[in-house]
Amino acid sequence: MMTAHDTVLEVDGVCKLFSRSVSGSQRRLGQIIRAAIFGKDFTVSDTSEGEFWALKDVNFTLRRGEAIGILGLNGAGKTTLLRMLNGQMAPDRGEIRIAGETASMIDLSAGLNDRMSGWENIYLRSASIGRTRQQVDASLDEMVEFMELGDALDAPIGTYSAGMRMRLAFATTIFVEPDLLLIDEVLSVGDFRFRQKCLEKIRALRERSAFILASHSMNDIARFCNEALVLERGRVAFKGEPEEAIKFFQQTQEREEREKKALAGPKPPVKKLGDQFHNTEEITSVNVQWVGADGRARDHFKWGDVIELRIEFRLASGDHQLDIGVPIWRQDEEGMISALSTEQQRFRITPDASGMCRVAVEFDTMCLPPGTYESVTAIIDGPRFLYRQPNAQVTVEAGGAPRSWGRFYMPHRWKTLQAAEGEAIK
Amino acid sequence: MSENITVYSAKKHERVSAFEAVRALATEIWTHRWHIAQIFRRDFANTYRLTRFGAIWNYILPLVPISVWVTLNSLRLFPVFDGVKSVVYVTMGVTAWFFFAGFVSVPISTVESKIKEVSRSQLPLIGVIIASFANLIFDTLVRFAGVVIVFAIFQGAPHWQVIFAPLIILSGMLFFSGLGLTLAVFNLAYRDVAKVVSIILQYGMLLSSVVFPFDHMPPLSEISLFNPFYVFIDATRTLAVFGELRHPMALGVFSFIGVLLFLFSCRLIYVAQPRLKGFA
Repeated sequence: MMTAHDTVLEVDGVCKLFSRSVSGSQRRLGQIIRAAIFGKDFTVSDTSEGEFWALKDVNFTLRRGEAIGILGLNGAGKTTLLRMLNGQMAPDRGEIRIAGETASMIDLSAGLNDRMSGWENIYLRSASIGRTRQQVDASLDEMVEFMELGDALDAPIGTYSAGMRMRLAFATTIFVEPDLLLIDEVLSVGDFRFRQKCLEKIRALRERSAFILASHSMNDIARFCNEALVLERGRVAFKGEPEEAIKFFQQTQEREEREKKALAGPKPPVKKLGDQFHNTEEITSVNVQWVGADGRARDHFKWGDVIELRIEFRLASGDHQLDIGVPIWRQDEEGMISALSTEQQRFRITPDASGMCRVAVEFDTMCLPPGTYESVTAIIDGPRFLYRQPNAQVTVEAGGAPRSWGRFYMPHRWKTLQAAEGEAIK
Repeated sequence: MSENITVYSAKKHERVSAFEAVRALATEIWTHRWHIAQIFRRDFANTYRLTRFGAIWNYILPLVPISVWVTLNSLRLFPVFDGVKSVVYVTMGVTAWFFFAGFVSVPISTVESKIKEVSRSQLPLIGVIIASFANLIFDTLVRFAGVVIVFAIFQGAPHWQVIFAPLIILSGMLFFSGLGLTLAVFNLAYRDVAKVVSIILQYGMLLSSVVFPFDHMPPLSEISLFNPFYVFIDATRTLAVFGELRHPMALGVFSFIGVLLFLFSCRLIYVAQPRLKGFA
């Protein structure tokens, strides 16, 4: 039972079973039909061969004005959960209780018909999401103004661009006064200006409704939600503050990536690292290592760690004009992400009496985005390459990484500029 | 808020009786009547969209099967059967056949083709079935207008007892819709059902004395009484023409079975539908 007046949603031990094959699905359906005929218990006790729990023992409650974000990798069960909350499929175990009306933005293209006009589709889609004719008529003008489609509404929507279809679908969904609003990955609607309008509308709804947002976008989760849960293979693996949930999710992503890599085995050398070369007559005993703050070699770092690249080698006697370059690539991308160079900083490499060179490049903060990186050490004597070989891969984990809106986080700090009264800031 | 609580549960529909299921389905149909009307409108409009003659096609196409049989009749291929003009016999038979057979085939094809659409909306499964029935009823009403004209021209006035024909038609609707709804659910799990039904219906038209009076030819005359299509079609036709029922016992039995079958199918579809949606 709903225990508090402002509780809008209670999800109590909800489970959903799926089959990996059509035949398995039909076998389960046959069981359901037999159970329906003979009035037997529907509750699924356990999985059979080829079946898996798309959701398992999911529990949470939501009050009016609260927003919960759902994070998870593809196939984690986010959409399945939202579909069940929207009554589109029944749980195989457990119970969902909703106080009041629900509106959903789960599948924006659902209920649209290409051969019908925009006007007809407004009514058709509105009906498919459970709205009455009176409700649609009451908000029709606002809806039409919001979607900004003008005369295009007279044309069949088969002639619309993807963005126009999304505008129509979004507008028909958003003009409601729901107690519970369900949103699944649809906050990237249309162009920038329309997206801002949508976000503004959602923000207004969020004030008076309970709100569930399933998304891969951690920024959206952090911006809209006051709680988040991370689904991992159908189970709630984490529930708490959005920032904490995001960190947990990033770690999960990294772990899954590592597991995938381990399964895939070592990768063949990548072309982007370029030609390899080693003039063994002039340069020997080359040793290149990424080391942590403790001075020990490592191949995993957390964002924000102190990190050092140590390079040692022995040179044959003679005069040298040495420079070292270290280009760096993300493993999953082609373009070079950064490069370290002694020439850039006019750093002079001086061998000791035995010809040994020992240099290091220090980073106060490892600020590369989480991922796996490849690099090359190139040692040049004037115009000649003496050595060009790949270094050990290094993986950066999210750790305490701040949320970043771009590919790269530049360490920075904000400050308030002080100005004397009546004087402009220069 | 607390008075308007929706519960989605694995056990929600388990223990309902057939009567509760009928009431619940009726409530669902009423609640979603506007959506059902929208789907009917969409399907109706899809028939003629992009054509030059527009909605006229929705009136012409249902009459085509009748016109084929009238044309054959004009070639004097059929005799007069039991005092019924062959053209009247055939047009009434064909119209009744498409109507009753439609109540079996339409739910099967609708559930199979629309389960995905239903799973992505808040419409209950029964909603799309009702919208398809509405299309079937529209086609039948158009054909019925044709039957009335043909009857008036070739047979004259119907017997006054034709006023009881709606009871027979209603019994037939219960029987065949019950059968159709049940088979539609089974067809989702056992896809052979639709194929078998399609074969049976093709032979069924021939064996139900729709076009030829097979009920007068032994041994078919003896097994016709076990064929519900024959029993309901023949009863409607003889009541309209002669004001009599030739097989009242068979009609009574099938009508009774029809009520049971309808209740059974309503319960089955109500209990199973929240689960069926998940299998789209």
